[in-house]
Amino acid sequence: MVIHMNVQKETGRTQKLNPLTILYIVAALAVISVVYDYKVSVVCVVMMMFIAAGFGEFTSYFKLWCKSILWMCALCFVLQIFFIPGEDIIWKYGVFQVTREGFGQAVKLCSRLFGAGSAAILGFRLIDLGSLMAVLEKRGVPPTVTYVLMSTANIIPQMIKRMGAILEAQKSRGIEMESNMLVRAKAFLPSIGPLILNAIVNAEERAITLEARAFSAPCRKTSIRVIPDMQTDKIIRGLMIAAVILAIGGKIILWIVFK
Amino acid sequence: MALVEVKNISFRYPNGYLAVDDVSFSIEAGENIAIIGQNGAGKTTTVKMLNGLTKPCEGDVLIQGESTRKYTTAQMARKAGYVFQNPEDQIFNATVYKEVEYGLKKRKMPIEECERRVNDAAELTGIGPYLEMNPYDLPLSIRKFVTIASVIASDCDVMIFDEPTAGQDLDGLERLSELNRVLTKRGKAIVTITHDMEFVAENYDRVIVMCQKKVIADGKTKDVFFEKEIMSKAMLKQPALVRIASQIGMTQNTFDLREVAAFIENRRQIQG
Repeated sequence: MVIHMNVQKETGRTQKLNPLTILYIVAALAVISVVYDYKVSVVCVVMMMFIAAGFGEFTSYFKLWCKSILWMCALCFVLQIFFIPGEDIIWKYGVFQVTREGFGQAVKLCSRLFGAGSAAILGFRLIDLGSLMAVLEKRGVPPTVTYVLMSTANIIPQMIKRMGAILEAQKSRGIEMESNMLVRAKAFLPSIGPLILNAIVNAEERAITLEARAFSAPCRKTSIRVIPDMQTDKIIRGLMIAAVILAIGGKIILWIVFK
Repeated sequence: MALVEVKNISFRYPNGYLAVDDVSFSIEAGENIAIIGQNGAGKTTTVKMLNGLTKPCEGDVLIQGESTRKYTTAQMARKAGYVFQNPEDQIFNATVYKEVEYGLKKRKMPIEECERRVNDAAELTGIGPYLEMNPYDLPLSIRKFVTIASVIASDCDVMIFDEPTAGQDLDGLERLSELNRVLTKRGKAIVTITHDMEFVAENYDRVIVMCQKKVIADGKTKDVFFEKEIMSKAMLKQPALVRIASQIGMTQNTFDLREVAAFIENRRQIQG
């Protein structure tokens, strides 16, 4: 018997590289920027910008990066420099003071957040999760694990959307949400109930739907996704593993030498 | 002065998507209106502007002469009640009674008045036997009536129902028809979004047809439903009786089965 089926071909940005290769690149850049100081982090982030541009995602990545990582780093930096105590005061105004130790610690922590956070959002922008899970499944990861990963990644935007609808419904029945923080917090509590109940109901329905589609049937699974894994992908992945080993090894050597 | 005045409202989402384009209409107290149109025509966004859930980018909505822009949605809830399509978004109390009573207690209404209103709303919607039950133990159609009862108990002048017919059996549809009659008699303005054209034909005096973010027709249900061009432009199916009446060449617009039957009988007699 011959079965003809439409094979879903990956198009656009995901066609350029295997999603696993992109994951390796992103993970390698994150590890290198976390292991070394802020100068290396900055270089890594610049490289991430170039990679995003290479995939035609620079504008969207940069916007998201400015809205998330930049703000988080700025906030974290301010909190760190004011709250970490130290001996060497470099600036003082009233009760606020900045110490050299606090400044150093803030730079260290923020550079890690800067590198790892930038890599994480680059990964979210460039990797098609469905394709990545298909690749992982092909490499032996159990479908239950990939399903849990997929669900976890999808549940947050779904819950945000649902929360918006619930908050609208509660506003419409006279619950004030456009006032100070205390009023908002009080109004938020009744909204959690429908959100959790909906999540439970949805999870149950999804489980039934999956079972109806033979999710746990004891047979070999097929996939309509065809994700090419070229020689280039293999070379890049090898290079990334080498880069991470070198980076960690180099850091250990530096640590031993300077100690 | 009309109870609701919608003046040239337009709404554009932050991503630039135009959801409502220059829509105007007015609603009098005691009017019963259906807003119809295909999915994405702008119906829900339009009615969300009636109770201030979304504020128009252009134009204005006046309820009893006052702009919705001046008030928060919670303040507007006293004037315009909104029953959402999905009851799960709304319900969170442990019993049906508490659910219906919730909005009234928020307004710090005296207990006796709360009781009176909850019982009245329960009687109207037929949820009386379920008052002590957990709403999540009830079927969807009853849960929908629980949310409707919550709005009725609020005694708003304008009541907006988004898809109340969805998932309702014949009994539920009849109860909805009865609700419409009682509420309009009490002077409430009812605005309903629905895709059930038979239900609209039977229960609504006026219909507003939306298509591609604009109002393309606003008039008596009988007149609008017999305009085949408008109905097909809005991708709406005429009710069966309207199609039959048009097919047999009736010149009089009617939703009355007896009139159509009499016309057919009359023609048969003439033809011998």
